[in-house]
Amino acid sequence: MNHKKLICILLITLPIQIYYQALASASLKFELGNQFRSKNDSMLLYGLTEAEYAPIKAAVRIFAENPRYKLSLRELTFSNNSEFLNVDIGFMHVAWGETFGFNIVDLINPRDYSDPLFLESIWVKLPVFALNMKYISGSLTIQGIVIPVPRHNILPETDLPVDLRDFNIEDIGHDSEVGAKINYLFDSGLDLGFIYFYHWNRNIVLELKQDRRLNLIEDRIHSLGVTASHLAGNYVFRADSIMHIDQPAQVGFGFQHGTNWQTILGADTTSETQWTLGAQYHMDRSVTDTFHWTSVRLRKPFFSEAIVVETFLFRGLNNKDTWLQPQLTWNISASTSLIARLDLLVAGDAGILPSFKDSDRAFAWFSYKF
Amino acid sequence: MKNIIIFILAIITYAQAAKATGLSADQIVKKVDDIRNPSESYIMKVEVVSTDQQKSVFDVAIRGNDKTLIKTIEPSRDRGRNLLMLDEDMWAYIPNLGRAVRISLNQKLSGQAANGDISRMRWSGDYDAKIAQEDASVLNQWVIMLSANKKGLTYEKIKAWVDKKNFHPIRVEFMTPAGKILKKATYGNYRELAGKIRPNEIAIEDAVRPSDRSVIRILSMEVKELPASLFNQNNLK
Repeated sequence: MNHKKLICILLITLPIQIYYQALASASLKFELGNQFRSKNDSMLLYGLTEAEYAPIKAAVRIFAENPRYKLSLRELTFSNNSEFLNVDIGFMHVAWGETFGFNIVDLINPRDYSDPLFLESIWVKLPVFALNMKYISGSLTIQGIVIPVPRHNILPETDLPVDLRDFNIEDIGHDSEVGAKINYLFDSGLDLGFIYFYHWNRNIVLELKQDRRLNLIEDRIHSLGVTASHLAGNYVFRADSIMHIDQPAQVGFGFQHGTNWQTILGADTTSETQWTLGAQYHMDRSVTDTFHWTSVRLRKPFFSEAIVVETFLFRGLNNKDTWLQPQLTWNISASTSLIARLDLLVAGDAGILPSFKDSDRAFAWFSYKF
Repeated sequence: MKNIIIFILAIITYAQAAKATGLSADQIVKKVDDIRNPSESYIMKVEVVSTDQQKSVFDVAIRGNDKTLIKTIEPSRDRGRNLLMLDEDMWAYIPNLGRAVRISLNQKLSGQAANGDISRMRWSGDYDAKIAQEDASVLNQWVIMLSANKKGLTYEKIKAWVDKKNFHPIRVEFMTPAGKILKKATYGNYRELAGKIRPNEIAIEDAVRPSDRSVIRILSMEVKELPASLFNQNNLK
């Protein structure tokens, strides 16, 4: 019944979309997805509409997963480009990283940890209201970002109530987050960027209090990072590295401060027959553990991109984390695509996947773009 | 014997033709560029139709020799997958990831956008030109050999046949450093675009896979001042 309601809502908005399309040279996308989770046999249905009519871009998503509905604004930005300056203001996503699979240097957006692994990263990142300015002079880009009112991560569901800090508009200046990225594209092809972000910690740390409530530990921390890509013929080398200084980390039912260092190094290439192969090394060192993983990505289009087969494999080197994600895309027509994906997980007691083991799932979505 | 004399005469006539106009190979290439590109900064809408009748439409924004932004309009399922080319470096915006991803040369060479890219290439400045004399069969045309004078260009060598009357490009071969032909292009359907008679249609044939053919049509062309900030990998979305 809920799914029927959602489809109705989406269909009702269609004439508005069509009118909007006719009115202006807007770009519109309509997407309908269905996810099946093996852990609790639940079905999730979602709809997504995106509209772009320069200089304004907007996106709205509707979730339906019995018995809840969720309507969320995914993007609403106003952009202005002048000769040397680009200014974006509004609810946005910001991507800083070069590597694939995990976006360790994409710090600007908090995450939706209620479903953090399996959806596209653009889904997991929560949009923030920000002022994002870029000064561009030749190969140099200097970017500055201010988030006046920070936003919390969406936490996984727990049986215990969780106490959160209030972020209010009155506390602008005290609570706000600020960041910068300086980027230079060298003649050699090296694209090198340095990142600084002063922000509330993005990792989830919970403290169990005596009244059997959970307290979300939130501290403002400094993060420093570097991101790079280098093109050498048919090979692209990528690197992301970030250091969160004096970040709280979960230790048992309590927490401890310390520096967390995450790095991903990798390379990928595409053959003349359009096979794409990528491999990466991942490292995460915190106050309690150091973990190492490797990941491999394979992609091959067939029949002039009518069918695209992709696989991502993530495997722990000193832990039992294993995540296999095969995906098949069928581009049915110029407007429509059908995508099916599996997430197969194996995990031990250490690593980053233990809380997701036995969470294998199938996910399919249908996309129509006007 | 008669044929040999005709052949020798043809070579002499041909070799003297460029001299007669008083133009160097570089000047000819500059004039050809002026016909293919209206100014330093412009936009155009380009349609690419392949042999299997798959149609793609792109909005292309160009600034100078080295900055190109290609936005996919059709097929609509690929809308948002925009491409930025800065010299030999190229990024593709992947909407589902919400990020610009750097891509390699082989990815650049695949797909219809790469064919569309040929329509915007400027040769002057990036290539050293000389008038080739080996093709004496076409007396009313120059044959220009272009060799890349900088690293990382998609095509290291280009051989272009140019109409002596009006500097219209007639056909072009795009080659590897060793001279292996990768693609062949034929320019045609000249009509007024952005205030000048320009080729409206370019037929492209993959020399390695001859059955792989595409026709590029320039649907519109307009001179427009474009800010430098538009052509930045950190600003691609």
